[in-house]
Amino acid sequence: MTTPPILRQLRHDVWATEKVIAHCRTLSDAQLDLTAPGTYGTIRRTLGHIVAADTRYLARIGQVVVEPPFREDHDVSLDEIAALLEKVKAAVERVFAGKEFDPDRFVLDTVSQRAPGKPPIEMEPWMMVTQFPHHGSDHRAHIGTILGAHGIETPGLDVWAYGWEIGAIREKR
Amino acid sequence: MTDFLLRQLRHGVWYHGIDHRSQIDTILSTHGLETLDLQMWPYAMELGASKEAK
Repeated sequence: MTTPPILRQLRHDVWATEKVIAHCRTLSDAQLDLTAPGTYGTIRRTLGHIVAADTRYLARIGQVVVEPPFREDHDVSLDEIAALLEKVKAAVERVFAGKEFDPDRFVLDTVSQRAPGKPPIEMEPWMMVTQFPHHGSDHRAHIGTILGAHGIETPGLDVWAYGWEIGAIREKR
Repeated sequence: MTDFLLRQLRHGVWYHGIDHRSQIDTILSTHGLETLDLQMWPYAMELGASKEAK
């Protein structure tokens, strides 16, 4: 059976965040607290924010991974971030490997906070599925900027690196 | 579903675009210049893919 393209895209996104976490395990606590102008914050906070947001995007289409994720205004350990990402990864496989997911059928957004008297928001789910990797890529780029600004090696996260690792691109025999 | 697959393909191809637009955003904000909101919300509101429920 052909793997749904959406699942391939989200698998790449999860893989890329896993790569950043693995790379960060080689850094000191002081390095994890580095930041750079124009980015979200420290490396550690940015990583936590990426994965916590992943859970919110899934929740908005009715897939509650964990409630609530860790507090983003606190420093969390790489182990905590990795453990939450494992849950996100399992949810991605569960939701998007099947044929039940309909990206175009409006769902009620139960996560957004609305002012009293304002009607709730409804959305087509493709939106959250597109926002998920958009957001992750954006903030992983911030981490890349921080690492580069401080002369620290950056991991290869693009689709080429992923494709080679999983055998989706190879030398022809 | 076809439209959705096309959107996904476009985004897969444009992973590279997200990465470099993020760098432009960093440059702009580092120099105190206004940045653009390129997330899904403004795009989806414009398309009607996100709206107030009736």
